[in-house]
Amino acid sequence: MLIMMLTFLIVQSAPGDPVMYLVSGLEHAPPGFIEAKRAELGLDKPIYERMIIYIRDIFTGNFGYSFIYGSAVSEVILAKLKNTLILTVTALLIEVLAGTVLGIIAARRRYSVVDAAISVSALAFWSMPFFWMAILAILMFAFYIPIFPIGGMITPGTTGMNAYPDIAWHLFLPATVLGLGRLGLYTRMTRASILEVMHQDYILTAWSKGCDERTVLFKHALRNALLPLVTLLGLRMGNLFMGAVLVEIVFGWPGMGTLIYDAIFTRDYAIVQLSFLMISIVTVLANLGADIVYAIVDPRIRYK
Amino acid sequence: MTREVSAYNASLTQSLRRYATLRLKQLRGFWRRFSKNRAAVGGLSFVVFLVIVATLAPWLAPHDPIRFDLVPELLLLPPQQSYPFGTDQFGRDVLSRTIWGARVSLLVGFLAAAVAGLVGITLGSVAGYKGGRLDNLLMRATDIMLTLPTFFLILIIALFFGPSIFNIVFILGLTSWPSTARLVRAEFLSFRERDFTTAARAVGMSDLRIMFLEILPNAIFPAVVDITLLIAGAIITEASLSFLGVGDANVVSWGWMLQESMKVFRRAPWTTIAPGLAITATVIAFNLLGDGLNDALNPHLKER
Repeated sequence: MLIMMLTFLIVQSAPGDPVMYLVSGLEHAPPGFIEAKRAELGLDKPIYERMIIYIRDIFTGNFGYSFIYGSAVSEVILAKLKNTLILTVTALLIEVLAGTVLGIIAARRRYSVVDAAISVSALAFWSMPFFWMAILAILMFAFYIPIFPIGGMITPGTTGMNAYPDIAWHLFLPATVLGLGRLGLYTRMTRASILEVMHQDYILTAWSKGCDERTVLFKHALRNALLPLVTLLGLRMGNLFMGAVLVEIVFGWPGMGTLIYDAIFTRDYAIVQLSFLMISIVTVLANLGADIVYAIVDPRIRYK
Repeated sequence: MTREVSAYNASLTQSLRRYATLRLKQLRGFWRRFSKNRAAVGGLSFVVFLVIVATLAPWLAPHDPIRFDLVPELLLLPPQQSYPFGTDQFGRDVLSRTIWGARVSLLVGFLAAAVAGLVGITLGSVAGYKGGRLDNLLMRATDIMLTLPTFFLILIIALFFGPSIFNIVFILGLTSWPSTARLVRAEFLSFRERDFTTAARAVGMSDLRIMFLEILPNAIFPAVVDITLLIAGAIITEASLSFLGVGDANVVSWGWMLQESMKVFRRAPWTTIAPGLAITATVIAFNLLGDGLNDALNPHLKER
């Protein structure tokens, strides 16, 4: 609700008018045409009245009308959101799995060459802007060594069962770029967290019981060490979507990113507004999800 | 009366002098620990190097970074003697533009982090010192800011209020303070009940003086580390905004260069390599610096 009001106020109080954009092609619009168009779109009403209408519409499922696309915004966005979610979930799987595994390796061989290599590359990937990494990936693996497609989501004309491997083939590079970019978050956290847990008394107990390293690490230490990762996952959702949007634009992946990118250049209020709203909702939900998972995996926390 | 005041002043000067020597000692210890960390010193050196390059840009850059005449012989030249990093599709020297771009990135990074630091430190100290309902309220606001997808908030605001460089700095600063606020609050909570605070209160110092003269100097360290990392984040965000086309078109910035290179990078990879490397190296440098500061300011953390 708060997010809705905020979005509305920011977008509406800005200079620029979609009606002006619509009529910009018509050099000699008949007098009264602009006013009529404004009334049609409800832009002649005062701002607070429009805000109430806007919020009421959201709750009744009417998300507004894209001035440019000319169809209901919700349909446009839902299709794109699905594609973005395919990308983000794949990237999330890559980064969490690879990140924790590398973090565990780094913690087990701390201060070794392997540890240093993992830390350095994770920092380098984390410090690269997502879109630049995407550009480099295209240059290297789609242009110089053409093993992956340069962009898009599917080869035109592919249908039926053939579509899935084709989409996966198109998905590989963008998802890997997004996942690699955020790998550092997890390797660092896992490494630090394991090293911290390994110094606690109950780990000493496990050692003294005669457990081997594998048992101590995987049965005793890891459970507690991975707890902070769940919170991190929730908190960094916004960053994930930021990355997804940027990577999508470079790869031409037809998701929220390309949608927002096009909407920016056409000043399509409804699209930008709703995209922000959708991303905010997904982020908040992901946060909530992380909190719930945290409560489930950590028996010390009980929500009443 | 006057005698009392002068006595008070004398004791104040004395305690200030004692305080200064103590600080100096701490500072020396800090520098000893910091200078042992080679990665951190490397980061610091690179930052100093960048500041010098940014300041001397007009003298260092071999060509004009903005002016161009579309002479076919000058467009998209590969790296060569007179254009070490090649030229872009407008015939401008990539090296000169990269040098000038350092100005914008550093300016945005430092100013945005300064704004964020100011807001974060103020809110964090008030929340931590006052406690109670005010603390609750401020921390709720912080939580909301933390869950919001800030990048998109910045994007929307910058898009609609005009993406001038100072707007971007301001918005960046006003959206990235939550982490600092949290850290400072936590420090204040622990220092609030210490003896020196009680003593200051007993002498009759005002709350403001206790907060900013007594507690803040002790509580500032985590904030300093956080602000260094915020600089890195701000530089990446500014580049990402420019890349999306929501940047200040009147200045030379690395993100903007990457945005322009999107159309030609397959033919002329040098247009993307130089600015991308510059961003990555700068962000790595600030991250290393932040980590180094963290280790040097919290020596007990390092022992693990």
